[in-house]
Amino acid sequence: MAPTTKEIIKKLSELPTPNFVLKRIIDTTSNPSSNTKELENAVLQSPPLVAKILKLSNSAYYALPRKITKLSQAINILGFKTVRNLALSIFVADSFFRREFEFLDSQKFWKHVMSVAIASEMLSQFVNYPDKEEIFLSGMLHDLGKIAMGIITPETVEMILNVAEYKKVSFIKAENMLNVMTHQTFGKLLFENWNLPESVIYTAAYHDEPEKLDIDRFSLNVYIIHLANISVNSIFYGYSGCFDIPVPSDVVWNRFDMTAKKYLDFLNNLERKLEESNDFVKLNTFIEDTEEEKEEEKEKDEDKTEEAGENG
Amino acid sequence: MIFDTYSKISDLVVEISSLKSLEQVENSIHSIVSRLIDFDEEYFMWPTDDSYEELNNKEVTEEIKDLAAWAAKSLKISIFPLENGENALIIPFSKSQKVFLIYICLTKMEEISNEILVFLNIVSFLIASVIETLQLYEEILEAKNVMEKNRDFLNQILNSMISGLAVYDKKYEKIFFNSNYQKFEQKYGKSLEDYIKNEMINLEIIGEKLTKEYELKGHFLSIDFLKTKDGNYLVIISDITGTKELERLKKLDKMKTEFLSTISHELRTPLAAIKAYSESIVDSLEMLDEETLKDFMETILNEADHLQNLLDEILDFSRLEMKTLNIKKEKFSINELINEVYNAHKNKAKTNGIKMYKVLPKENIIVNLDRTRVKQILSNLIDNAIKYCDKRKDLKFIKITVKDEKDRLLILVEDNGIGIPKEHHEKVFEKFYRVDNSLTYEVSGTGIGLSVVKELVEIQNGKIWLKSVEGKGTRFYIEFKKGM
Repeated sequence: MAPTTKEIIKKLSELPTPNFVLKRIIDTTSNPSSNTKELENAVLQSPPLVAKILKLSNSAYYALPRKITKLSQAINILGFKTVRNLALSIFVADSFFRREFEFLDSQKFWKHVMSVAIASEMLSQFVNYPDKEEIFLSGMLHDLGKIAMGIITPETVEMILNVAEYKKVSFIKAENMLNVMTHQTFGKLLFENWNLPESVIYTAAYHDEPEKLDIDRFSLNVYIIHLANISVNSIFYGYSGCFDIPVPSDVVWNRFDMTAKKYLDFLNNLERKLEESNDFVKLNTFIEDTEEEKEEEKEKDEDKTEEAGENG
Repeated sequence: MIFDTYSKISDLVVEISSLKSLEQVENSIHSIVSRLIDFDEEYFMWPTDDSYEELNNKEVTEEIKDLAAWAAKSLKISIFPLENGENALIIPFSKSQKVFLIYICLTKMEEISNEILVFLNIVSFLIASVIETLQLYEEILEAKNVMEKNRDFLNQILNSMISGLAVYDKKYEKIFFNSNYQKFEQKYGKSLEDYIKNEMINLEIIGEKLTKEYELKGHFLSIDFLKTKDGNYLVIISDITGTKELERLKKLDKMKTEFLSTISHELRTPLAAIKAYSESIVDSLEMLDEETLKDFMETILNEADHLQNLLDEILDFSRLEMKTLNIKKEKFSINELINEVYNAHKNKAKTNGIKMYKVLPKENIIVNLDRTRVKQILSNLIDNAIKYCDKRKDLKFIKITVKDEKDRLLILVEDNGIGIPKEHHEKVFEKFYRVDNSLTYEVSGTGIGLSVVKELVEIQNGKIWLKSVEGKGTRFYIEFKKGM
């Protein structure tokens, strides 16, 4: 028997939620009057997080001209929201992608979500949407509902994937054919629990069916994530359980005045960018594998924490 | 640092939308940033093909250049720590992933609020749009220059055409013309204009293309009418008078060649006769009786006269051609002259079975003209009349009439010979012109006789014309002012 909606909602609330450090980070970055110092103080409460953020900041993806050693520098250089995004990515990778699924390769799936995040940020530049960090977060979290679904109702996900593969359709099409609660709804409910910004909740809820969005708010966010998702699937980067030929929604296509040439240019740029970001989209970059490494990082973190403390 | 964001953005929009030049953009960025943070030094980095150029030619360290290169890739507003302990605020201005400008200022500030960064992000987008617009505007100006240059170039070509060229719209209104077309219009005026309009209407009926030759004020114009793809009319006028003149000269040249072959034939005939008769006399003088000898000698004399006439004619012609012929005017009686000519030709006419008449006024008419030339004119006309008599007619005649018309004198030379076909009436006075093909030699002649006559008449301010019906006869009219 498939679980009822009520059971699912209950089980969703039992999934990992952002701890108080992460919550404080999210709140601080959402507050316009906050400053570097406040965010720094919030992150400094978790030394392992500081270490990971610094490691990611120095990764090839950001290609900084100089190695940075202080959290305040990371905040100043990459920006408040990028630091928040990194913190959330680390949390999601750690809490949801460590699991092994029989039917879903976590590594490949992580590659998918991070690629969509990168594609979304690129696309926001492409269509001149200024708040690209918010878009990055939406891209990174858009398909987390699939993981949540895999944890709560693994047999449903298996069914969906079988149908999708057999019928050569997308994940959402298979969900609709089976008439089950979609991963979009899973994501929406999950992020409501987490108290994430509304834009993230909307993109999770509508990214596969942007034409169903009947309010004007966040439509651009949803459209960008939709097209980024389709783009990443078009160039076969990562795995998201879709077996159809990815076709952008005409609503989105027309909203951005897309042409075949513009789209192809974008896909080519995206492919190049993803190749450059090869390390960044790997799950291992976000979660440590061994205890040794953890210990090492911890020592370094402590040093840096002291340094940062002195500066402050 | 709390302020009313909306009013701040409103101010910003007003400020940014009034920007008209890159310099104003720089000043605006400067004033916006200085309202938000304290800074020491600022750089405006303008992307070039492979590097960056400081707009005010300030010295830029390698470190700053590296930062600019990084910012152009990340497109993020950042505060970057420098080696000397200062911080660099970097604002890239980009639109649709294209970087227009990178602003970098050096500051000691480390703490910058979230709100300022969000605000600067908006500034960056708005100003990037302004710079893009300015660049587009400049491109438009440049394109306009190129267009104007092209137009000038085409105009230069069109105006240097020898032909006149114009475009008329569907209502036959002129919408374009080159300078030579204007010259044609000025020269030929309304008649040309009307002609062109008429032909454009004709073109509408005929189809796509029409070429017409139009003679106006002694000039030949060739006019092409073309229908363009958009339904307008293209009219091209060329003055082909020169071409026509060339054609005439070519024809003349051909006639001269024919004349040479004719004249050599004409000269050889009497010469051959003179030679043959002289040889006969020299070879067999003792065998010839007096009568035969006289007959021979007369023939020789006749042929010699003929030869002399021919040579005189040629000489006159060449003098006329070279304009070296002199007129010696004298007072003389025209009645006497006619009698003289009449007597001179009476016998020759008689030999050919032609009767000659003369009709003279009673009183003696004295004129002031070149006597020799007038005599030559009349002799020539009478010679012609004899030459072209109609052998089939039983009663052949030549009639010379003189009419006194106050200060004018009219002489008519009339015959009932073979006549001249109507199409040749004008041309018989042309040089080298012969009604029959000269090579048939049906009637001997050089083809310059009548042209010499005409020149001789006109050189004395006279007029000559003719009336003729083929098969019936010809009448020449010569009119002189008495010149008294």
